[in-house]
Amino acid sequence: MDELDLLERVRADVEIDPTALLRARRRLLRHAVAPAVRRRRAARRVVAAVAVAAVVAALAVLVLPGPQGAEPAAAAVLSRAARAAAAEQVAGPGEWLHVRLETTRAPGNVRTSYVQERWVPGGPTGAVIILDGEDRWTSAVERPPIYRDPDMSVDDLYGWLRRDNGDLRGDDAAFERAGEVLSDSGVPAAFKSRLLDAIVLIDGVRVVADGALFHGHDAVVVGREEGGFETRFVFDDESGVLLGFEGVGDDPSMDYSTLVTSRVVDTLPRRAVP
Amino acid sequence: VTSLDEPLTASRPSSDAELFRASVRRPELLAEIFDRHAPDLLRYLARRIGPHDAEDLLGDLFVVALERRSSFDPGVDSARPWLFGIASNLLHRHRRDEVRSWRAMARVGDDSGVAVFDDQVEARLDSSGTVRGLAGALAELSTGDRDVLLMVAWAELTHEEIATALNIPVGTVKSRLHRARRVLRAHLPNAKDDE
Repeated sequence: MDELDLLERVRADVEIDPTALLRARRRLLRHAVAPAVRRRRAARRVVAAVAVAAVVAALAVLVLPGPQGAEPAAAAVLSRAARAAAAEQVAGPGEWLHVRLETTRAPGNVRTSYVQERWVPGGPTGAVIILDGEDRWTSAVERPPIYRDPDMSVDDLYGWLRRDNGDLRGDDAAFERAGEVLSDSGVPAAFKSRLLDAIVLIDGVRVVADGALFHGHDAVVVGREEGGFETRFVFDDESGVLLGFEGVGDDPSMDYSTLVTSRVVDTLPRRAVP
Repeated sequence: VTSLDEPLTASRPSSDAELFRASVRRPELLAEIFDRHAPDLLRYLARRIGPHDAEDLLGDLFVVALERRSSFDPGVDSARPWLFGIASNLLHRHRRDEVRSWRAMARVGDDSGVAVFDDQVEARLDSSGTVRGLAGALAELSTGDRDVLLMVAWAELTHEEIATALNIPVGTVKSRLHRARRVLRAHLPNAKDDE
């Protein structure tokens, strides 16, 4: 018996709580499904003025035959949202950006709602504290270098968005990735602003609803359909601030609506402290 | 959201790479990857840092995997080495606690509070101070050497898989393992370093 054989026996019978796997599995699925704009699911909360949007879109097509990028009405919404994002409050050193995501789904025709909270530290380092139901954990802040590249043009950013994303290609991949970044609570405001400008370059982005009601807010909804699913970004009708996400798909049980609210705080509440 | 925990249907991708790709549209498929690898990962983590912290780390691990799945090499079928690589990165946060537990075990041959052992097996092992010696060696090893050693001994990964997991050359894996085994042998009772 050599040293490796001996080592294999050390702690070989460590006891595993059988429910630990179930909890971790559930946490993974909640994280995967809930705040992710990247998955296309149906929206059911938006009361849409779809007809109005359709007319606007149709007129836009007549005026600008064969353009690439978002429809003009959607481009206007996104440009305003970009300006609003650039003016967002930023957490400084010693402060936290508190983000609250309230997601509503209706699997099996039973409405289900749950809340995830995140505290993102200001400054370049630290760990994000995530409170998801009864689960609390931390995740290291990892910001891709591209987030801090001030020289990246909107065109370059559009090219970055279009990289292959799973089985998605081109503008399909771009809109998917844009949703992933927008749902990242750690994305800097300046980058988010340019990202919204870059979404304007994506084909098929349209205004789904103007004058919609979203969790009590007057909202305008921009979306893009791909493969029978539509992912939507919801903006405040007055300020242009991103309010949340929705999805629309063929399977209503996978519909979701996520309201995102955020504010800068200088202390952590007790529930966020281990 | 209990419906998300329901078994998956039969018509689904088979390899981990296919599942990652498909999960962009069908996030529930991530559960398949979890079911394949989580038990081994949890046991590995528990042996290193104890069951309680292991559960937390397992949750972190799969959230990280979800967020980084686009970086998973689509030409590789199994995500097992990649997941163990994430586990190693996350374990580094617990490096001090882990080393502390090995040191405690080296002193007294017990690490109650860190992990639960099969007393009979360890009593046999420790009849000549073997466990204390191994624990002392593990405490002494560098983080990189310990990662390689325990991936071989406890995760049963090949040298090539460990190289993939840790993003280092295979030659480095072999040299780290060689060094770690030498330290182990030196700490065993009646050690005879045959290097």
